[in-house]
Amino acid sequence: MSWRPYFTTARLALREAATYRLNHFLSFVVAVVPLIALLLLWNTLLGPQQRLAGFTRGEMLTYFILTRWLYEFTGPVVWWDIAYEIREGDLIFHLLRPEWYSGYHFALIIGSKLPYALVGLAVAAPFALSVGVGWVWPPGVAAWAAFALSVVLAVALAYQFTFLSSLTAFWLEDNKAMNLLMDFVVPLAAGALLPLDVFPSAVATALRALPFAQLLYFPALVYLGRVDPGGWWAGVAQQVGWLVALLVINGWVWRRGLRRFRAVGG
Amino acid sequence: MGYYLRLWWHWARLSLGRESLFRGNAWLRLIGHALWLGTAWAFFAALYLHVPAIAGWRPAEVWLLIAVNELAQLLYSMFVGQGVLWIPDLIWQGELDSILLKPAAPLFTLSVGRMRLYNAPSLALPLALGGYALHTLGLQPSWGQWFWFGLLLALGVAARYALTLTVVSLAFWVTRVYAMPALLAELFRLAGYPEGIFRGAMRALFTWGVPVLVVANFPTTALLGRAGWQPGAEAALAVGFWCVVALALWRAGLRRYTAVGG
Repeated sequence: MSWRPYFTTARLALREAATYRLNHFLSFVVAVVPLIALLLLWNTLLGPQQRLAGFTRGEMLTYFILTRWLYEFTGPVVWWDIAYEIREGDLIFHLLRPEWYSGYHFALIIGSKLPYALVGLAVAAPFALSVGVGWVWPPGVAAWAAFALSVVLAVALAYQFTFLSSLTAFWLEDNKAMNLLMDFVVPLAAGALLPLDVFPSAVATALRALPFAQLLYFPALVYLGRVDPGGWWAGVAQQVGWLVALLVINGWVWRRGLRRFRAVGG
Repeated sequence: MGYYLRLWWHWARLSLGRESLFRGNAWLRLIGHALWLGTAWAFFAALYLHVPAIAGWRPAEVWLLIAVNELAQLLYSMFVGQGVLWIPDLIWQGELDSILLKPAAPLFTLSVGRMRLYNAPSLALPLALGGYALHTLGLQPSWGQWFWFGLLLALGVAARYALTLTVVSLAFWVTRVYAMPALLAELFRLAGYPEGIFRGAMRALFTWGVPVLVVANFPTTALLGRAGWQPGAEAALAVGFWCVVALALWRAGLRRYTAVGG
C-alpha cells in the first residue's frame, strides 16, 4: 500500500486550514476561556507551597493549560464528514476509489489540526506565562521523547474513537446521543475536567482502567514527570493494546455497516 | 401591550407545537442538561473532598449556585437566546427586511419569535438541585428574598441578552462575527464559579465588562441572605449600561442596513 495519497491529503488539508489562521485563533480563544476561571480557582485554592491530591499549584496549573491545548487533538469527536457521507450516500465515491477510507479521514484530520495546534500554542502561551516560575517542564530530553510518543499514540487512539463514533451513522438517524457522550462523559473520564487523582480513589482507579485516561491524563502525567519508567512502559502498552483492540472493533463495525449501506442517502 | 402579549402567546404555541413533533429530541436535551449539571456537580464535589470551602463557599452553597446558573441559562435560551443569534445571518443574507416589514417592533420579533420552550422540562433539574441545596442549608427564604432573587435573576438574563445583542449588531459592520457569540457563551459559562475567586480587577471586569457575576452569583446571594443593596445596584447599572450600548448599536446598524446581503 502506498502512503503517498494520504500524505497528499494531509498536506492539502493543512494548506486549506492554514488559510483560515484568524478563524483558528478565535476558535482557540473560545476553547481556552474556561482556563480563566480554572486559573483563578486554583490560585484561590492553592498557595505556592500547598498540595491538593499530590499536585502542587504549579503542577495543577500546568496540567490544566497543557490538557486544554492537548485535548483539541487527543479529544475524540463525532467527525461530521464521515457521518454525512454515510447518511447521504457519498461514501460510495470513496468505496470506488483505491483508498483506505479510515486512513483518508485520519490524514484529513491531521492536516487540518496541525495549524490549529500551532495557533493554539500562541493562545495558550500567555496563560503559561501567567504561571511564572511555577510552570513545570519535563525534566530532560528523554522525558520530552516519552511525552511525545505518548501524545502520538493518544492522537491515534483518539482517532479510532472518532471513527467508531462516526460509524454509528450507519445505524443512527442523528448523532445527538453520541455527541452527548463525547461532550460530557469522555472529557470527565479522560481527565480534562480534573486530574483523575482528585476523584475518590475507587472512582479514580476505575477511570484509569478505561481507555479514555490514555488520551489525556496519561500524556499529561508523563509531561509533568509523575510517571516512572515502569509506569511509562505500562501506560504505552495500554495505549497500544487499546489501539489494536479498537482497530479490530472498527474493522468489524465497518464491515457490518457496509452491509447495511445502500448508497442512496436520504 | 395586549397586541404584543397575543403575539408572544402565538409564538409560544408555535414553538411547543413544532417540538411536539420531535419528542425524542426533548429526551436527549433533558439528558444533555442532566449531564451538564452532573458534570458541574462532579467537578465541585471532587474538589470538596480535599477542601472544606471554596473562596468561602460551602458545598451546598455551590450546589445552589450551579442550580441558579443553569436556571438562568435555560431561561435565557428558552425566551430570547435563540432569536438574537439569528440576526447576523439575516443581515448577511439581506433578509432582515422580511422582519422590518412585519407589523411589530423588529427587535421584539427577532428576540421572541424563535422561542425554545421545549427546554421547559429541563427546568425541573436545576429546580430540584436548588431545592435540595436550600434544604441542606436549612434555609427558607422569605417572600422578600424570593422577590429580590427573581429581580436579580431577570437582570442576569437581561445582561446576557444585552451583551449578545451588542455583539450580533456588529454584523452590520463586520463580515463575520460567528466566533464572538461563541466566545460570549463560553464567558457566561464562568457564571457557575463562586464570586470569591474573582478578585480586584477580575471582579470589576466580570461585573461591568462582561457581567458574568450578575447572571448567577448575585441572585444566589439573595437566596443565601447575603445580598444587600450593592449587588442589585451593580447589576442594574451594568445591565443599564449594556442595554444602552446594545440599542445604540442596533439603531445605528439599522440606519446603514442596505438589504443587499453578500
